[in-house]
Amino acid sequence: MSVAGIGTQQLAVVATIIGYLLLLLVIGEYARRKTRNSREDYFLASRSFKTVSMFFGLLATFITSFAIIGVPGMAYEVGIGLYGYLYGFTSLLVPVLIATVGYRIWIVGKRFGHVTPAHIINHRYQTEYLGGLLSGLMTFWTLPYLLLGVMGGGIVLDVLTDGLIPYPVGAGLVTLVVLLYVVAGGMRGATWTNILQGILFIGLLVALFAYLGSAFGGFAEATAATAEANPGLLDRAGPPFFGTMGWLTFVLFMGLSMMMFPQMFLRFFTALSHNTFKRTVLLFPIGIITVGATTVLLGFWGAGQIPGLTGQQVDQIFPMLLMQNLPFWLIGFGLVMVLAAIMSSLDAQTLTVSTIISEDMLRGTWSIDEGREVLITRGIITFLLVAVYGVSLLRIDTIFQIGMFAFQGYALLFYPFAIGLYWKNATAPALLSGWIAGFVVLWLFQLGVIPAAWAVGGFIFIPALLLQIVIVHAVSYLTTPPSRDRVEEYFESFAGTW
Amino acid sequence: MSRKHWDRGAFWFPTRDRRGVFFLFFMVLFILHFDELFGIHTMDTVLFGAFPSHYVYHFIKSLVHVVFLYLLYLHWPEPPAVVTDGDGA
Repeated sequence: MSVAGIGTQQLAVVATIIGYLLLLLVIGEYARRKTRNSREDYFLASRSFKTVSMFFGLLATFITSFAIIGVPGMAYEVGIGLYGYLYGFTSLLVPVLIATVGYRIWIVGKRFGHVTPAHIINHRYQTEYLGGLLSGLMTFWTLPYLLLGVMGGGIVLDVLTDGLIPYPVGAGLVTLVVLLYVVAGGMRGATWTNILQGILFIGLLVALFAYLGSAFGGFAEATAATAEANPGLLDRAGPPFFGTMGWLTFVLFMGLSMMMFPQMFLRFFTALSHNTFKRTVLLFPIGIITVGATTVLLGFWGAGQIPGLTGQQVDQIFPMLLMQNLPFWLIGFGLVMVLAAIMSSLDAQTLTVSTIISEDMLRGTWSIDEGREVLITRGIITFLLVAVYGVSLLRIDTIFQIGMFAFQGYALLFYPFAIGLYWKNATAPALLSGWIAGFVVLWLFQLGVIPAAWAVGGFIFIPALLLQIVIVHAVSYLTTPPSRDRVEEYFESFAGTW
Repeated sequence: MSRKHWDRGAFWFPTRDRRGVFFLFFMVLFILHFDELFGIHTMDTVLFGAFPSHYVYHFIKSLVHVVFLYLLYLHWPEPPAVVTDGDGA
């Protein structure tokens, strides 16, 4: 049965997607009505989020399209060891970092009214330039991720509607809906839609996991099929990056980079109280484990169901499992789940970059009243998303490499930043030297000047981090810390905390 | 100002009090992540008829992580009054 050449299956999928996008717009409009025209309210929802908003805001930001498309593809290729590699320690390290460093970020935000990471740096170290550098680096590295989000939305809509929503239309649709609800509701718009997206994502993922497991003939049958197709997938003895140093490197740069993602960082400011923080820290690993345990198993079982995929084909395993096993009316829900993962990161990244540009680059340069600043920020969000959509039409493949490069870049921001929350003698020149040293090593390695043999676990991250630590401490001993009063203000705020 | 001004009450410093126990517990969980050290990386037995033992090991360890975070939750320190009394301005 078809309407004007369009199959019933495609119509059902499109109707589900339209329903989902309309729901996001309704939430965005509701958030707009609740949002006042002040910077703290638009950027941080007046630091009023309770546990549900905080938890889903952080989780939805943490889960990207990689978690739902890339992870099953990797598990298909390298086997069940991927769970331990990706989530085995991340499910502890990231929550503990949020409980310790994240908690201190919230504390100084609440006490001193900081809105961006640059505010903390400039105030803590009594500088005017260093925070701007941090803002510039964070913005520079987040832009490729915005592009990845828009491109991912376009590709997924194109593939799973069988071309009914072509790439330029799909990418445009995702961009437009995100633009409307972020411009309208600011942090509330982004976070309240994240609650819906998070519930849909987790709920649909668990439901699809159970359904697909049954469709494979049961969990035992699915594992037996994979063992028969490729017995090497049952342990983690395979790829070189699974070696001990590969695990150590990955664990460190994954955990540290998460803390410096600007979209995660700004969420720390939004918590209402310490109770919000401690409940979120408890719930967060449960979300990570649920997502990791199911997506890795699905990819692992996919190797027994659809064997023989190679190269970039392995990234199609999750959509292929959906297409082969779900009744047509359910495929739209699978697509909604993928869109939820993509859009929940895209909205937070867009809002965060716009906030940083507005607060750290414009407000610091010109005198702007709060109402005008919110208006300008809405303009920046619009400009950014329209520009990113324009670039997404070029479909630049190298953007994925830039994304991986940026991952290590975020992680190298961490130590020089965090040291100031634990050590009174850290100085601004030390911070600057640490960042420069880390990035010079990273770039020289990328350019091939530093030999590949220096890498640890396949990455240059650990040598760069060690150099940063040495330089930050050496320069701190040689230079003068900020005034004692300012440092004491910070450390009396941390008294008794983690 | 002394050059040794670390906040030694923080989680990340090994101490002999309850916080030190938390940090020790954290480090034990960290070491258990490196299953190559314990020969777990080559285990390919299927447990409960459906799940590879390597996966079961890390999944159970993830649940222990939740228990650890529950302990942090129970002993969570409140911020000092100087923070909660502020107006955030």
